Amino acid sequence: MNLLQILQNTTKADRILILFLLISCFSFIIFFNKIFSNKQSIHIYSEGKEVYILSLNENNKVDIKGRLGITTVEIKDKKVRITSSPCENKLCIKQGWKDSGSIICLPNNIIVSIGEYKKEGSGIDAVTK
Amino acid sequence: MQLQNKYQIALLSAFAIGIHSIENLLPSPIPWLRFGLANIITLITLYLFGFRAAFTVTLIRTFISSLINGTFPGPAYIMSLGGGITATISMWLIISLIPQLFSAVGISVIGAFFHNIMQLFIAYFLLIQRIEPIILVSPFIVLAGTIAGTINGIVAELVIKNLKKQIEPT
Repeated sequence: MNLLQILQNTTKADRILILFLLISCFSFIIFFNKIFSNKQSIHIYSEGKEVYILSLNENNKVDIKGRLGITTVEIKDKKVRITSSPCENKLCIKQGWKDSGSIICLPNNIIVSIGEYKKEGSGIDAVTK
Repeated sequence: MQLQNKYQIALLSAFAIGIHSIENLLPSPIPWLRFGLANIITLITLYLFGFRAAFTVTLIRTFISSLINGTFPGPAYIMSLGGGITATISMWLIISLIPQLFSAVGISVIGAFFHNIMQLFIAYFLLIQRIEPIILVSPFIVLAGTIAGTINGIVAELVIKNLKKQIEPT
């Protein structure tokens, strides 16, 4: 029994199924890339929960309630900054305008992230070492 | 269950565990992208010994290989278990409902597909809880699953044909 015989023994339904799955996968990849690409968004997390998803392209100003009080985030010209914060050392405000990465205010427990904020080690089905 | 059947289940489980463990040692570009070679054993068991044997082999295989890899109660174990059970049930349903439509290659592809879908569901409920990354990654996973399933199916078909040849004349 060699490989060619196996391939000849596959039924029509087999080939149709495999072809259908391959084609639909490729078309979905192209389709999703069109939908999700060049849509930079800002994700704001308060105390670990996602509270806002904003577009980077629109100017905006939002207040977020954190652990200590209210933090104000401003979006302007595809850049983002924190304008006021109740924390002590104001490191988040000193970071200024950002167009990539993230601004994190630790005392107030707020994360402003451009794009998705990736938690370490959240991969699927990883091998524990 | 007869005694002989028990021996065969033990032997097939041992094969499946061995293949699964060796596969875990192989380097892969993404940690959770694997060939699912243990599915070959499940498919062979399903064809030669029926659904109950295949289900038992899947349960034993997921349990013991998770103990070996040290992932026992974690999400990786639940994903492996859920995927394995779904794949076995779906392959059995297709074999028993429409027996002549697909060869082992098609059955293997179907099993791989449902395995992937179930794993994505479990990943959504247990790990990620956001639907966009799951949707984004799903076509890649299903694509990889289809390719791996085709290769597994060809191997399984070879083994089944040869085993049947050896069993039938005696």
